[in-house]
Amino acid sequence: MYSPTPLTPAVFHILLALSDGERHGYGIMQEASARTNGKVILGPGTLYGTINRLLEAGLIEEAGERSDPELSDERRRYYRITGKGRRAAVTEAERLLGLVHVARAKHLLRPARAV
Amino acid sequence: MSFSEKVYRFLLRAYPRNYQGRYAEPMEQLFRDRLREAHTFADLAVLWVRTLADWAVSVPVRYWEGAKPHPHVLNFDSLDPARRCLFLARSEASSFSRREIKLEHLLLGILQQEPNLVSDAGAVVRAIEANEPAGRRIPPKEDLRLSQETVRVWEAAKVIAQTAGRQEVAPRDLAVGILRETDTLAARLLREHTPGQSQRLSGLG
Repeated sequence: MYSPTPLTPAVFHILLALSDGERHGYGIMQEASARTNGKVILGPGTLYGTINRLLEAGLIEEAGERSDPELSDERRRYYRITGKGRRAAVTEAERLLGLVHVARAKHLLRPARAV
Repeated sequence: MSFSEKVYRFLLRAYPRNYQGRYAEPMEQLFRDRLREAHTFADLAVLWVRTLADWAVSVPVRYWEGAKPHPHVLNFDSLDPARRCLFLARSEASSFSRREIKLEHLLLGILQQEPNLVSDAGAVVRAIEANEPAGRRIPPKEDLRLSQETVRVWEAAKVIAQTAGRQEVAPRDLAVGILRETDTLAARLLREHTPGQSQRLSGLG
């Protein structure tokens, strides 16, 4: 069975993109690109290959087809995160946060500023 | 259709046939969306470099995924329905960072197999998730033990099936066993979400 921890960057970006709502493939790609200032651009092959694995693992599910009012009137397949997927994303985020703490302790990063 | 779209549609033929059937259309749609963003020749060149790199990597990966043995899936398909529930319960317990498969995990496994057993499977799932901590997932290779209640339910379900003259334990038999563990969250949720049925389910035992 697909082991979700640690998650690959593509998997984590997709789960993050879906964590606040349903999105179609292009929406997921746009969200990942915007969040990383264009550094992560998921190509069609990578994106749908990863979506396929996430569907099989039960971390995301299909949420029907409909058109996106902000884009063309083409029907698009939407996806949503499952409870299991959300838990996997939280676990990964905590794992990454732990690494950031280690990097701070080793003075590789400046201490976080109080907001 | 533009020349780029035609070329990309041709490239999609390289993917495995069953994968094409499921994803060729949305992949083409995504390529079209990205093509719409390319306003200059330089944009188009960058898009094609990225697309070809993505294609060159993802095509062999899709074939490899299709060819490699998938023991868990094969094993799952060969399991009887009750063992499938237990398999899924193990996965649920693992996703909650538990080292023990409790009745609530078993109930989640049962509902994945028979969601119509209760009136609102989503409400049952949410109630169980609300009582579980999110934590690090235990890799599947590590053994999780069955809780004492889960062992009792498993044994009870076997007796229920035998009494009914069946060799194979059904997910419903497991549900009846859970109902007998009256003080557990799983039993309470089953009672609450099987209006008028819990007595009938119990009667089966």
